[in-house]
Amino acid sequence: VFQPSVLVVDDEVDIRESLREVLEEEGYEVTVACDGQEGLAGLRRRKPCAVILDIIMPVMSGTEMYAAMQEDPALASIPVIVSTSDPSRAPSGVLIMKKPVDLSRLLAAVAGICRKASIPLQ
Amino acid sequence: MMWEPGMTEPPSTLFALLKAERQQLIERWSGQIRAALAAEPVPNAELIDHVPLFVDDLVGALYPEAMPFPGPSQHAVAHGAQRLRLGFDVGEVVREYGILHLCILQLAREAGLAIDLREQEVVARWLNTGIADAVSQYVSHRDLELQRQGSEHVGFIAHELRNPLSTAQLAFQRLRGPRPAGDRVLAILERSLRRAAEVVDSALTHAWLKMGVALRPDRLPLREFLEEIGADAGAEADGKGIHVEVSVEADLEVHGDPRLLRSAVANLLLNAVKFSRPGGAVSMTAWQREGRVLIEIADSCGGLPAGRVDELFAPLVQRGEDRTGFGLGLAIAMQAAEAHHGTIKVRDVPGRGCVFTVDLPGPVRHT
Repeated sequence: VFQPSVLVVDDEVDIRESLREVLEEEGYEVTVACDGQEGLAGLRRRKPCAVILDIIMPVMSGTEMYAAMQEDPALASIPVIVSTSDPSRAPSGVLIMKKPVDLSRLLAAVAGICRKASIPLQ
Repeated sequence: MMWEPGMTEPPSTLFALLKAERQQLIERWSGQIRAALAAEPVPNAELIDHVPLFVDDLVGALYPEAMPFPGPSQHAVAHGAQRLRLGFDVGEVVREYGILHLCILQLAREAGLAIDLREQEVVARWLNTGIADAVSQYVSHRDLELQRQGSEHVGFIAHELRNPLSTAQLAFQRLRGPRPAGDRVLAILERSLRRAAEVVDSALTHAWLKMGVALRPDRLPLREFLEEIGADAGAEADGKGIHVEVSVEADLEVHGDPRLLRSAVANLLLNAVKFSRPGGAVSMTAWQREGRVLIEIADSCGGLPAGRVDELFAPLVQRGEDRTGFGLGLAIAMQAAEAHHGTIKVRDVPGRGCVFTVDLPGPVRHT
């Protein structure tokens, strides 16, 4: 059975874990990371069908992580949803959800992305 | 060459004297300013700034057929703005023009010149204009800077509030959602609201410290005091799997305002937890040395990026995308320590973390 996976990258532990629980309840396999550096390491272990990415984080910001993904052909095509309180800092070419995130919109976006991603595997 | 007694044809007017001795006047003035300044030495070009041009205008105004009443002095305006940038205070800017007046009178006396009333009036008017223009510009730039800092402060606090409010709103959506939300969601909601309240408390403490409210000092048994702060940070640390170890020399006391010292130490400790890697260690150690009490808080943040140590204590500065949120807590901690005649220093341990040391007067031993 295809179980779509999502990577959540956010330095706020409560946001990270809340999104993990909500997404798991929807049937996704969820991995989490507390900064861009951990996020990149997670992506290299397993390619998810979507990344939910915070921008302002210590160690490596979401902007830096996104730039690193674009430079890596193995990661560049992974869809990214940026969840940030400051959309002006988000990189271009990504879906932006302003914090506080509307859960139903976020779940709809993730479902849309992962449905598309699952087609070649079926 | 300056005129000296015995020389023939001494200058008969202040106009002639200052025209001939312009350089001498500026050197004399800069020497006296340098001696009078409490601030750090300033390079000569920056010290004299627009003053030679101001003197040229003054000499021009002394010319017998010149317009006697000068308009605004653009050189004094530029000088006022430059003095603010250099960190002069308003009193120093005013004194600069007073010293210039004094140097003019000294030169005249040494030249045996009796300044006539018209020239005295021109000098007085020109220097008054210079002082007024320089100070007006200084104050107007300073006011703009204060307004900018005020806006930055508000923006910073709003930024600090956004994270806990976002988390609370996420929890609230889950509570209202179709699935039953457990106690965990309620705990998240409670934690977020508490953090938002802490930001508001911090902002108020910061404002309170800025206003210079008098301390309410008390004897604080340090072990009990620090263990309590350590326990408060425990909940935050547990969430990241971080162990907070508190170790305090027996019977140690400080004399201080408990609210402020709690704020200082708690801010440092919470920052240590916030920036330490999950599973890392945070320690708080206190001891006495050479009549001082030292409280050291060591984290495992991995060390600071090169060149960032000095930036840490700048109040309310948003430092790009990493370590945002560091400023308010550290600024409060620094203000609180300084209010107790203490200091806070940070040491970077590359690859491991940061060590913050609060240095306070003391100690007092239990008897």
